[in-house]
Amino acid sequence: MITCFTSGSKGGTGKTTLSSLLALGCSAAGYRALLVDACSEGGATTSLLGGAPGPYLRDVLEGSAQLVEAVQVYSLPLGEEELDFYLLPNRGPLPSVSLEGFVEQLRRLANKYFDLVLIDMPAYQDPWYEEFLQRSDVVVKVVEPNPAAVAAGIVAWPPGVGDGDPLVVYALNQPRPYPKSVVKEFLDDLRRRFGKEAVVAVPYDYAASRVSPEMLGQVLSHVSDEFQDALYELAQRIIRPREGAAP
Amino acid sequence: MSGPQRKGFLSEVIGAGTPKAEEAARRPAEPRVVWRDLEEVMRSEGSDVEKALRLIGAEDLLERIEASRGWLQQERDRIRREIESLEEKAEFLERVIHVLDELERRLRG
Repeated sequence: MITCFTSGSKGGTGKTTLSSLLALGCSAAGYRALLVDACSEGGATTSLLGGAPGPYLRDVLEGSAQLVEAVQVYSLPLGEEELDFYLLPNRGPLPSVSLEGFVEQLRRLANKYFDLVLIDMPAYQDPWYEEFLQRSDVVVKVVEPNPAAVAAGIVAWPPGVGDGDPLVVYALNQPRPYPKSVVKEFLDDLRRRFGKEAVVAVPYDYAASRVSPEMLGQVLSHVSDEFQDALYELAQRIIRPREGAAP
Repeated sequence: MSGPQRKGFLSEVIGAGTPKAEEAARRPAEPRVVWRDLEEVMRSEGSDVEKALRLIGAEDLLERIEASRGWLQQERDRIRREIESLEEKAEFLERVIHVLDELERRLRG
């Protein structure tokens, strides 16, 4: 199960925060989730770890490292327990190679060791990145409740919700606080266009907006119930339609 | 609260990628039941197998047997498929040999 988080050409909608916290939440719920950082600036790598030793996704795509040797395992102390999470880090621009072989390898690895793979995409201008989306099972379009972000999400491949292959889910995310009436307006609009099942509303959460390596444990302990419910709902939309089981 | 600690690469932590590790990952763990304990418990506690297994700390034995059976069935089926595939290849080679025999016979008149 490969899921891509994108916002099309609009940056700052919260893809990295959402995909990182979803990966950690899935791990806490007993799922083994692999987070793949596909951003050239290494957004997820930096926000979760501050940095990571190579090899990176870039090296795997260039063919100078094996995928299985690049996936790293980290442990996060949470009270008396430890939460393991899995990351394929990145640093530097990705080479514009065909992704067919890489995705095939990723799928084989996922079939053996992971319940789901979450790919954190950059806000992109280069159509090459669309191949990540085209080869995914699910595309999560992370949009903010403002016209530019929603428009960028809708035109990102596949436009709208496509034909169901891959499955498209809209996450109406608030990386910063928005007035309730504005959120409702965009939520209603997206649900009217694409159906209730295709849209998940993610509330603004102060703790979630503070993701950093030093604060990660505190962030996970302090995110609101509403935010956790939204993550759970998003996980359900990603996993359930294909497997018929709740996470 | 401290941040994330690196445990290593996936290949180091769960041994992913090596044939031995993949084989081990597919194979269920060995049951670790001492039969003498089980017999003793069943003599003193009656013939309730599930209770006896619980008392000797092996309540998952039946599940393990089931898992072992499943794994062995998979291996059996895989080996049978390999045998079938090899037999098909052998038959094909046999036919090629016949063709070569026939060709040689005709060439020699």
